[in-house]
Amino acid sequence: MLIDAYMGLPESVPPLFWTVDAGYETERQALGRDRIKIINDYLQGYDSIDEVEADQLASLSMKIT
Amino acid sequence: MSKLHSEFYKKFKKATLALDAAKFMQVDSYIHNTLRNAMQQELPFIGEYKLIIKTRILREINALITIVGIAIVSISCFPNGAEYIDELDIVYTNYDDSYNFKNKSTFAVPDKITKIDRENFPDGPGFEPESKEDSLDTIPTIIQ
Repeated sequence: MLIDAYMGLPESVPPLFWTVDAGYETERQALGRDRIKIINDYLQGYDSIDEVEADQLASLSMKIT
Repeated sequence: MSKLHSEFYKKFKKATLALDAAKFMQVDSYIHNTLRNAMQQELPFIGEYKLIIKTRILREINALITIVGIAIVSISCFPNGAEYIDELDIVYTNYDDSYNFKNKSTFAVPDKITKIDRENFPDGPGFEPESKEDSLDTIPTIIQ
């Protein structure tokens, strides 16, 4: 919505644009959920984070960056 | 996210103009980078929290030491406090007014401390030995 308003695309914009936009939004939301899960796991295991957990979290973080 | 942008930039460009695709990616990156930065600032670094706790404990210990130190100094310097040892301990003297101290060039101190109890003072409180011989274990040592 915010991006749509900023873009100021004309009504004549090809429907394919919105199809691509919807696909992008779906994948972006999935990435957002993965990021939140990583943050949640990080905070839950924060007091006892060890070598293995640190490696897993760092690897996952870099995958979705 | 950069992979996603790279993949979808091509798709957006095909669906519309490169200018619009670039504009979309730019504002989308701006929004998500801002959000990620805000989240990142709230997250503690690895080991940071333990360091904060250690620092806090050290500060509390230092504060406690300072307070105790001030209290000790305040009490010890209290103007109405004890200034002489006889204000802290029970001191018994048996002063003889008729004794001429000018004839003596030596003095004596007891080499033992008499415990004030029923055994040494069987008559209890108020008992006043008239001479040093009456007080048990207080035989003075003459120092030349």
